[in-house]
Amino acid sequence: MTKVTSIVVGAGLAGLSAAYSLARDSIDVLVVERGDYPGAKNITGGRMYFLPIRSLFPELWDEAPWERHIVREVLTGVSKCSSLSIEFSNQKYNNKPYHSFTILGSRFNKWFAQKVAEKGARVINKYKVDDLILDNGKVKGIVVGGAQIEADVVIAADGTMSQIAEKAGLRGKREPQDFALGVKEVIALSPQTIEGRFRLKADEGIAQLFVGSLTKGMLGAGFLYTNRDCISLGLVLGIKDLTDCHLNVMPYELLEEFKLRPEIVPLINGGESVEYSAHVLSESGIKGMPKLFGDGILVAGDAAGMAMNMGLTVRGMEFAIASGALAAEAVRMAKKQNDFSAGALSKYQDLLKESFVWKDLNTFRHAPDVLANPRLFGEYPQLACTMMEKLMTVGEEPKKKLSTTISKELRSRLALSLLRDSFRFWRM
Amino acid sequence: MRIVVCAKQVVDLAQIRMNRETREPILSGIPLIIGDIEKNVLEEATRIKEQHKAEVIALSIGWPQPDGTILECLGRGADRAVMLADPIFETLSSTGVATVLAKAIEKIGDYALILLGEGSTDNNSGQVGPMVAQILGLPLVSYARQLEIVEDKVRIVKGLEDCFETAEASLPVVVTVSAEINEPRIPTILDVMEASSKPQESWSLGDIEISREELEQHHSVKVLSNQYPEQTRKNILFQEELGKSVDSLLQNLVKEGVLER
Ligand SMILES: Cc1cc2nc3c(=O)[nH]c(=O)nc-3n(C[C@H](O)[C@H](O)[C@H](O)COP(=O)(O)OP(=O)(O)OC[C@H]3O[C@@H](n4cnc5c(N)ncnc54)[C@H](O)[C@@H]3O)c2cc1C
Repeated sequence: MTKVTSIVVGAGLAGLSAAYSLARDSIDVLVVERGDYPGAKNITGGRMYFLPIRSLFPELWDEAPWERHIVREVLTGVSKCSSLSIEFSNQKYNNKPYHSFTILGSRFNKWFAQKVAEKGARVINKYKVDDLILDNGKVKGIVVGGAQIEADVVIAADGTMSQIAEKAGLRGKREPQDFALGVKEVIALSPQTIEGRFRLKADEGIAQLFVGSLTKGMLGAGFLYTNRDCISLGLVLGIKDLTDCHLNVMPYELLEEFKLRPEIVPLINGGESVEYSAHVLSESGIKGMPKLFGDGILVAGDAAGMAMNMGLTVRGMEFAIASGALAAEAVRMAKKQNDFSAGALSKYQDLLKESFVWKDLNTFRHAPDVLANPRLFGEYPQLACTMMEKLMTVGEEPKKKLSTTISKELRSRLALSLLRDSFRFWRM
Repeated sequence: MRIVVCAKQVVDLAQIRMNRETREPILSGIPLIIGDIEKNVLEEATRIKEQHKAEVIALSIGWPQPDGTILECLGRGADRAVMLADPIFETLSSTGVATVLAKAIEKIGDYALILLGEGSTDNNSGQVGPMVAQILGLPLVSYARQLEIVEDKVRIVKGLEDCFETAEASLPVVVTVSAEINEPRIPTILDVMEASSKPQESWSLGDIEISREELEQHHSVKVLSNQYPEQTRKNILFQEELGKSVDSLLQNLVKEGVLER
């Protein structure tokens, strides 16, 4: 039977990072990806925070296909016919090393896989890993379309729904509220058009988040990221709300409505849709993590639930890259002792706990509960818009004093819950 | 017995998009793959190998770009591969391609069977196989939908427009195959893994003793334009209430002559 030292299932950021690290240490590694090419199935919103991962592969980042570095953040609350935006820009975001970048999975992962192959790893596309070779609960390799390949260790980097972690018995039952659904469209526009419409210089980009009536009160948000020659536009929606919802709306319908909003139309006008995708995200943070190691197996990236909605940001990419690299480090240590048992591989968890991955996920462990609050996605954006409308509009009647307008709005609506929710958000 | 399979690299047609301004296909970043008919050719060679003692050599001319087409040929049963890569091939006419292939086949030597597709997935000129036979002075059987080796002969059923023809020829022979000849199997992941350890050679023009000047004669293909037909859209939006919008739409369609009253 064919045997290799290590197998990585999935050529997403987690898998590629693991494979790159292994190959760099001259450890025999086979990457199996079911997509036509690495990147074909990797859906992301699009923003990666650079500083946490900068030191991992310094030799790579200068030539990485970053789209644009983010220089402006916009948070927009929307109601049915109005919207209120808060814009934050920071001169520092224009200094190197850049704080965050937009990326496109289809470009970034393709490039990353090439680097992985150049380091000597074998990357095989278009094959799906169907099963694990198990011997008394110990993982001994993989099964692909009936063919078996043995390995000392398998790294499951197969994304949110990880069947590999499940087959290895590392993951328990999960609930709808642990997941969100992302739907996303990539709209092509020339770089000049993008720079003109968003007031950007070459290479600069913006990140914009939308909350409010666009999700019809469901947990979720809209996002817009500028790439080099296209815009990523999408929605993330809580699956529990989507399935419970009496509204009975389809995610793609919401995306269509989002695209028709007057805030969006002029931004995407004339653009061509070049990608349409949907993908599940893990929303439960550290509480939803599976067991991260077993005999002959490690779990990294989304497969290990290492993605999270932290209120104003969705994060997963840096966690995927860092956990992949740490999994590889654990394999390197295990190989030295030639011991791939759960005991030896548990080093992975120790390494993770010392890293930003665990620390961030732990700090934000309450975020899912705080965010599972319909007021954040319905009443508050509505309130903000109504208040602005009253403040800004001059009608036929004499205008009331500002303090009267504000206090009336606040008294009439939700004052106590707003205070309470603000406090919870603050503590998150 | 030595079988030479000529496999052409083509851009993955499924991934091509059009540039709306120039109306030209966007080819950059599109991976090269082996054409569908090449899969039939390789399958047939592998099938013969399973029945007779044979060595299968994949021969591919293309332009230098790291790609998986050679590996795919090896994964689909070829024992070794010869790759000729030079930017000059990109604009070569069919005669030029046939000249290069024939030279390479001569250098490989000792061939019994030369297999090609009846026409390529992209250009589909259907000329290269017959030309290779002509240059090498070999018999040609084209449009094979069934192939059998009987001692030192091939017996072939050819698909013609309205009938089948059975032909026999002595080896060595050039055969072009059509898609009906077989159902190519999907290589297992082990085949793919094994492929990367099989021998691959890369030849230059010098290796096949052909000069750039000679090839330039075959640079007869000059692409004048490669555009899709112009489409104009009226972009009329009917924004009245539904019933009225439908009426306006119908009226407009009648006015445009799309519908008749
Ligand atoms: C809509 C959306 C928006 C997001 N926005 C952001 C953001 O702005 N910032 C951020 O940091 N994160 C964001 N995330 C999260 C982030 O994209 C992920 O956390 C990250 O990409 C995970 O990488 P991964 O390698 O773990 O998994 P994936 O990218 O899912 O890779 C898994 C790979 O495994 C392959 N695979 C699966 N099963 C098999 C099998 N059986 N055999 C072979 N191959 C298999 C898949 O084809 C895939 O290529 C977003 C996610 C979504 C869906």
